Amino acid sequence: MKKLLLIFLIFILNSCQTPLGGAKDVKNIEPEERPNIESIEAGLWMQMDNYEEKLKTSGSRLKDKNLDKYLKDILCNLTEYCQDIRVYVQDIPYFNAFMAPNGMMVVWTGLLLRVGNEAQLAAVIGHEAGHYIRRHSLKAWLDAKTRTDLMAILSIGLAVGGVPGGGDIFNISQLLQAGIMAKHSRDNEREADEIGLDSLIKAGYDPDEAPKVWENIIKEMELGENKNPPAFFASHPNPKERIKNLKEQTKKYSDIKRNHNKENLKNIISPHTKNWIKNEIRTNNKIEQTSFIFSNFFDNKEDSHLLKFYQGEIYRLKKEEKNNEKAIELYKESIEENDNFPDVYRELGLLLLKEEKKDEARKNLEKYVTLAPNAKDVEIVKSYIK
Amino acid sequence: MKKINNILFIVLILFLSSCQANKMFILVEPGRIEIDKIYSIENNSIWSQFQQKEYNFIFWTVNGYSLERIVFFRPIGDNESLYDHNSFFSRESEKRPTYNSNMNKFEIKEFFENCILWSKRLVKINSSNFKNYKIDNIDGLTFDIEGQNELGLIYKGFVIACIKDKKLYLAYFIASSMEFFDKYQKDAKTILNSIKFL
Repeated sequence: MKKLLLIFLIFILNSCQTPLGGAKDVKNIEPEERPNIESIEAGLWMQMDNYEEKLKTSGSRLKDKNLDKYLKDILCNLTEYCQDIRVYVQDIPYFNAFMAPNGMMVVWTGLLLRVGNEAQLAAVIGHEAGHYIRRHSLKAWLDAKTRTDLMAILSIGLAVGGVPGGGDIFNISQLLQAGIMAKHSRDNEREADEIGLDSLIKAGYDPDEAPKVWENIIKEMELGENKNPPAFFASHPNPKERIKNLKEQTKKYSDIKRNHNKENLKNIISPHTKNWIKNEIRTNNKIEQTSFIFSNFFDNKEDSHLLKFYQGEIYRLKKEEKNNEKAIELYKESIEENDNFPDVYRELGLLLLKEEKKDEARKNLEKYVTLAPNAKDVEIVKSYIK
Repeated sequence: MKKINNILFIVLILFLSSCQANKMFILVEPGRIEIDKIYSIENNSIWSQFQQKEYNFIFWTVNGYSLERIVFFRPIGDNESLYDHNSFFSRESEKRPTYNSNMNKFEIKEFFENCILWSKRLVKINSSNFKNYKIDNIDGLTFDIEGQNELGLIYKGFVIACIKDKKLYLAYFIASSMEFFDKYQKDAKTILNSIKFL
């Protein structure tokens, strides 16, 4: 009976979704504002400052001044907090971006490959800036601390009530605690979405592009073997709910510009796309999932030969679902679209050699040598022709 | 009294045996050296060799693994990986890159890069100077590598590999580009050029 009463008490407390411990009293940060050195917030900043120092020299950081400037310009176009937020790119082939309380924003290359245009990228940057403006990290910390204390008290209470504090009940209280905190975190995410969309519209971007980011991620998740959301969504609202909210919010605006700036994004990331695509294939996700990412990326008619080529590469390089015949078929389709792209002849030639089609292989390898006579690997290719 | 002395003597032996030096590292002196009964090499300087059963490789270093090393992998067969142990660096074992004896030279290069990235020994790797290369007269390949680890240290090195009896034989040298690459690359080249299969 005592157990039941205590569990009931936990459920009652769980229903209180208002942030506790002063989190609700936290005001927006002002531009150029710095926390008082004796405050909890200063402690959070200090920890993240240390992390940021390590990130600056980390091998996983992508150092490209043009890309950094481009991201900073988008940020400055979206918000007046431009001088307070630093944007870093990490070379990690998954969809993720995050904002630290001290103004350090990190964007992963997997996200840059997935967003279809500058408007979609701006939607994510605006959202992350929203976390900074609303001091969400501080709020989450205050909230988590209070709830952890509350659960410690409850655990003691359970022990006094005859239930071992460190046993199953402790696990129940932890689960509930996680439930409450996830709820609170999702509220922060909704706020950040609202701020992000406001700034997106004010900066002249097409707001309809914001929900497309999540629509594509849902589709990608559905095609993948892991149906769980990527790290970015761990504490975020359901993507479908998010799309609905964003579409509703857009209706409130009358004067909307619809800039996409697709080419700006493509041009600025073009020095890296070959590597990012290679890294995307290396993640060894399901063929359909990787293929979906590539078809969104190469959605122009003039890029269709690249789409076919890289789809062929997925089939050639896939560990479990390797399919040389399919790869050869896609390489040939790529050549039909554009017969001047050297790489496809090399891969086609090498694969045909494996299939014992020596004459056809030789012709393709010779074509590669003709199209790329100064390529660094040309001597090796010539040795296969022999 | 004699019994007690005997017991004390045994305890002393046991105690002393626990103070054995760590045998993972052994000194390698100049001369013709056998590497795990796979091949022999000619060495002109002094290195420390690290070897443990659970690792699929042996490495040599002078100043330490993270500063410079020559890594000799034991030959691997179909569906095996260069890093088969559950290294604390590694992740997602089901996505571990695996070797296939049907691989061409381009794919062997890709396989090596994938293994290094998968094992997190480097977080970035670029290859260059990709060429044909003979290991003890067996047709193979070589290429230079440059990369960075998570802490941001820049490395340079080179890889040699060949397929013999459907098995992949691969060795590489890597060193911090700041000082150690220039200092040891010549020795490493001499060592790897001298491989003779046993």
